Amino acid sequence: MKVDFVTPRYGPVGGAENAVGALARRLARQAGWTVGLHTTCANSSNSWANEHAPGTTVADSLMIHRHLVDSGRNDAWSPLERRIQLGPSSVDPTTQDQFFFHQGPVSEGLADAVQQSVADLVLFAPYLFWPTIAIAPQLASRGVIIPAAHDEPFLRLSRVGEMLEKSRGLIYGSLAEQHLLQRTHSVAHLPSVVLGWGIEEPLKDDPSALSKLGLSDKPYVICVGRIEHAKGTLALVDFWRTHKSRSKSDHQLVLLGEPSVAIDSHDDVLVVRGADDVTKWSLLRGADFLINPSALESFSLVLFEAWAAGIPVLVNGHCETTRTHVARGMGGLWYRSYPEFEIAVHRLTSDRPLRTQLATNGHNFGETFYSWDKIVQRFIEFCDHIT
Amino acid sequence: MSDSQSDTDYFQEIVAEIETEARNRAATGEYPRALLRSLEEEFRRWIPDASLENGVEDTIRGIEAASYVDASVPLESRSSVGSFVKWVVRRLTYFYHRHMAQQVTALGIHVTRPLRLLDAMLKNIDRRVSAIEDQLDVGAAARSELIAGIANTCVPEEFKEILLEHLTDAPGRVVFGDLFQPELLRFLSRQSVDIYGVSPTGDTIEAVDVRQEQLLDHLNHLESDVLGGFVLCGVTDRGSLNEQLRVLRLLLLRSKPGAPVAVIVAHPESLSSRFGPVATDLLHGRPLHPETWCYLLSREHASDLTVTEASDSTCSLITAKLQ
Repeated sequence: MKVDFVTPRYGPVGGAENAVGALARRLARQAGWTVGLHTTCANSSNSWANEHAPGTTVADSLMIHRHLVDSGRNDAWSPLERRIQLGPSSVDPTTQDQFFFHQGPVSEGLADAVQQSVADLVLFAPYLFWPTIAIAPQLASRGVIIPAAHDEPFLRLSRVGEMLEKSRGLIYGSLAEQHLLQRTHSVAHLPSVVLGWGIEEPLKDDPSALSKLGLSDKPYVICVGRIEHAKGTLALVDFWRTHKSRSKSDHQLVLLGEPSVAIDSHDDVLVVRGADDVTKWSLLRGADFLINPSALESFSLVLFEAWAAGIPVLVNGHCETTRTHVARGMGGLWYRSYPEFEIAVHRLTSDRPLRTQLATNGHNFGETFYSWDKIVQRFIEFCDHIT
Repeated sequence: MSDSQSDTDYFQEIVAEIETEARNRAATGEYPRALLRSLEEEFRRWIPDASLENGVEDTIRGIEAASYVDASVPLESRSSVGSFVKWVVRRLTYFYHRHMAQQVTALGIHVTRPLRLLDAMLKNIDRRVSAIEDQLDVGAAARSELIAGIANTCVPEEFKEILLEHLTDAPGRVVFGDLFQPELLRFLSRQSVDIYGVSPTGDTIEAVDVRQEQLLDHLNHLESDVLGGFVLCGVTDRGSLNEQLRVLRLLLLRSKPGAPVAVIVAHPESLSSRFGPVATDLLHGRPLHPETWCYLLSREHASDLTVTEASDSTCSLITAKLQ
């Protein structure tokens, strides 16, 4: 079997791109499989500036083809994005095309290469970028979409519906994502699989990582991911500061990620940016539990990383995806309001046996359903099914 | 009690305790209104509307929270002079701010009134529907216990080849629901039948191209004339008469002209002997006779109607082609 993946960028960037890259690398090791990955030379989704050299490299049997970006984000993008946020159902197709053009990354080299691909299947991820919207519909019989979608106005655009409906099949991260897509567009009958994603092998601790950050003798909880409004980080900081002002807890909240809004570090909240993977795993293992405050998730790998690190999780109860993971795996708690947050945080910080029990449950859940062996096996079965 | 059951009970107990305690604390006024309003504002901003479980009530709460205006402007400042100036301004303008705040609050009350009426109407309808459901659904708990203990009807091996021959060259995707048998699905798929499954049970989550949902919910998501055929079973043994007829109606609407269709149904007599007298008496529905399925399909102008009985007489396969 020969398959090609298409992602707007490749490397340790972006949740969906990262997960697809990890799958592609594992698939490339399978006997009888030839796997390629077409991507751009960009790293940043804010600019789509070319940062890598174009050309083909081979990493662990995976052929990575990088193509130059012709045009990235400019000033035209922002008003179009705001227009769609206000009401996607009333946006005409021409405006939608303009939006996706400016959403980027536009790369004619990538489009030409993908159209010339002789792969049995070409898999596009995620749905929201130009390569998927513009190229996938031209490969109808071979194009498979990995939407990595959550409930947002862009998903309701008619162009997105047309692209999904023309595809050969769909690969979802979670059952909640599948139900969302089936509610939103006419895709319920198309071939699909709820694949899920796996995590990379946890790295060993760096004993000095915690002391460098002044955390070696201090209890803390951790939140990993982009620090921004839409990910719920600011609401979490508000909740946390209120909780601290109302309780005698000496726990600190560690925000690990790149901030797109300014949050100052102080006694209650510590912002850690630019951390490498070793630091990330060290911080995860040292935390009492992980909080994922986002209501917009299509899978949330970080929950599985937390469980692999031996800590439970606390998630936003309004996010169907993460709440379903936690409820099925019994690997943590959730909150739907500030009072619930306060009580759940108190339970998790004060009850060590509970933390241990929840972390063990979560770890077992991840191993049972989302080990790489099982994911790759499901993926292969699905490809066999649709070719 | 098994370990996994006691783990589940413990987990559910903790979740319930947190929810109850949060409700109690909020009800006793432990949290100042202005505090909750400011916290909820950012928290709710990024929650998709569809995720809010109690839409109308949440909207009302949101409007009430947003329309509450605190006329006491904070006085904190880096310098004591700044703080004093703020205090003077607040004293001088307090009457004005209070007047404005009262108007905004009054607007909030007027806006929430029709929503409260709507909410009351919805709750009233919900109560009435629940009452009707209760009347129709006496002994639901007993029934679900009985169903849980009964194995589903297995599609006999001898039907495999008949189904394969019947479904080959279907003019589109064939749906197989809701009694899902992975081996049969795999067999048909490997023989180039473009088929997928729908099953309400959770043990199919890992299966490829199987939707884990109720068959009726799934059919409601489909557009008309999108299916190339169907294999209906499972619900034909256990579903109420109304359920079975609704499923059939939707399947016919969703199928293209010329689509091959198949219904697998247990024999009422053999099912009675398998279920025993208690389950037979209490179960919601019972299988329709093959003659009834033929009648229902022929009313929809289906042609080539054929009934094949299993060699052990446990069930029948009815095949037909839609016009």
